[in-house]
Amino acid sequence: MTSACLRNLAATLGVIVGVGVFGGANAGRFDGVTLTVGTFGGSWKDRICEHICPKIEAEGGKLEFVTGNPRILLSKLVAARGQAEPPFDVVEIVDSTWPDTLAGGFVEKMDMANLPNVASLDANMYDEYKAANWMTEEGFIFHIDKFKEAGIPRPTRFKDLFDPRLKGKISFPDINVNTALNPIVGFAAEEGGDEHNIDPGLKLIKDLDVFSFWNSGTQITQMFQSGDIWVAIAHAGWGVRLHDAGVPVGMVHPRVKDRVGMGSRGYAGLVKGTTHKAAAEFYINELISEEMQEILHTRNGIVPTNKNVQLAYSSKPKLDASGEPFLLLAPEQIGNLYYMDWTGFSMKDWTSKWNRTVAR
Amino acid sequence: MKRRAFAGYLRRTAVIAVVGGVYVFLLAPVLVVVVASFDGGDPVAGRAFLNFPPSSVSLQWYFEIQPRLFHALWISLLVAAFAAVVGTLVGVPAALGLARSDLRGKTLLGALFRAPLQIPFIVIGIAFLQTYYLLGNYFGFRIAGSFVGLALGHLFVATPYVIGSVGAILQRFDTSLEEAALSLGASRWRTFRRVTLPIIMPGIYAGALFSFMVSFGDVPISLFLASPQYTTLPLEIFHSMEFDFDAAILAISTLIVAGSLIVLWLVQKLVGLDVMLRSGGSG
Repeated sequence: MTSACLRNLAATLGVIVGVGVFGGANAGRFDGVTLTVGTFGGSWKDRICEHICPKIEAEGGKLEFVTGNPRILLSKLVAARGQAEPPFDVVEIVDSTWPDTLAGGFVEKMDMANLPNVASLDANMYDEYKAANWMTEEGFIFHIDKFKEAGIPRPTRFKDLFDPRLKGKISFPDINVNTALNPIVGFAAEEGGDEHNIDPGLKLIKDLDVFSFWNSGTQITQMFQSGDIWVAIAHAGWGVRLHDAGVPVGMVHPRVKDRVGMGSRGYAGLVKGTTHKAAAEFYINELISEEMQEILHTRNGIVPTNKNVQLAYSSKPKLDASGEPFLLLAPEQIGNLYYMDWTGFSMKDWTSKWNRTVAR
Repeated sequence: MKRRAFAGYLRRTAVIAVVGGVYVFLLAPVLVVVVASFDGGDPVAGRAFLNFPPSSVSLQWYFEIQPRLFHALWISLLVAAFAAVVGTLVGVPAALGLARSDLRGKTLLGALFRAPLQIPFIVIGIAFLQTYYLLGNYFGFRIAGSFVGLALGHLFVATPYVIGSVGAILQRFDTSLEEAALSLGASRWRTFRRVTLPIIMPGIYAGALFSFMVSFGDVPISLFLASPQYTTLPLEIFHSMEFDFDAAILAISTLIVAGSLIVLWLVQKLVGLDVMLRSGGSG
């Protein structure tokens, strides 16, 4: 072996050792970590991945999704109770699944120091177990042109839907759909009830003589497009989608007691027993970042929970054909939404009452 | 004479109209999906609702099919093929055992084999998931979230179809044919292969086909047994539709319809559908 060869060999070894040493010094925070997140599928998951996957990968980790709505995800946590390793590290929670999630001990406290972005959230949007990463504003979407043609004034509250000209022209969400819960309370409030006394609301819904009970938002868009319905009880995001697709709809944020509109929140929480706590907190912090919130607001139609994004877009809200905004985005408007008190909420009881009164 | 011919003509016309009407009713949804997949209208509207009839024609949605949908399609095909093949391997001996044995409690056993079809699939999904966790805890056998775990859940609901279709043929099976073969010196295996199997073959085809279809279209079981790596196409579609309609789903569905037609055409060319389904193959 010549001395030149030996020199080359030594240089190569030097490079390999150098790369090893310095490469190790630059190793990502999440080297070898596969963070599994339980959240919605479809475009929701895609948007999140577009923004967060590269960031986790830049730290040497990998992001995976187990898809399902919060109730399915909760069922999976129940099935996996007692396992050494949970089926996912972060779980999507909604107001209605929160009581069972907490009572079942399926989430653990986060280290808030690792979530600096909560500083941009309102105090009622997070606690040590969860941080709200999306909101929907629930009320009803109506067909502006059909209302005009029929001479029906723009409604302002749930009871306005009892106009005889709207008979058989309304679609209400089925009890299995999370969106059904707030409107039930909205109707109950019209008769002096509330979330702790929904019977008056259920009776009103029964008398509403709806065209159908919808199970998927896609049904709403289809029924509006075909002209089967003029009104759908839904969240404003569907109104935006229909409007963008050329259907002249408007959004009514109904008056509920002394509030205007109804708010529903979605949170991300740390699943108890996760072995990737740091990566999970990093993910949740990214979820409530301005960039992510802006993407979810502009492309998926949700109400951002990040106050900076709310402020940025409240001055330029999307307007319907009659010049009214689809979403209430100013922080004071969001603060004035009706938020249900979920204390003592039981999905089982509500479903049973619904089945006895409305679905009978 | 003329009146009778006219009555016959009326009867034939009525039958054709009714049969034609039924076919139109059954095929209309497929036709709507196929035609709407070629919608060339506003892509924003195409992400909100199904546009039928399309305002213009284009292949835009075929280019919008996301790779994850193709991956999910591949997983669905694998799982369905597993359910059909293994379901057949398990179901045929089970059907033979039920039809031929003198087991006490045979009726109960038959009911037990049919039971998977009487349990809501969503319950089966969560029961399997729970079972997998228990197996993992007690025996270290961890299959929750794996391909095998998903496929076994599908196999559970697919097998009764094979048992049912093969069992129906065995009910009216003329056993003297087997006796003749045996008395002429054929071994039991040769008798099964040359006499029994050809006769029950239409039932096997029908059962395997049903198994494949039930597995391929399943959502509730996959909802609990799927994982990030092993998600089936119907599940991907279900999750997408919860959020927004996407005409790319129509495009991939049309590709599946086209693929199914090609497979049927190939089967017809190579084997002959009529041969496969002859002799009351539906079971």
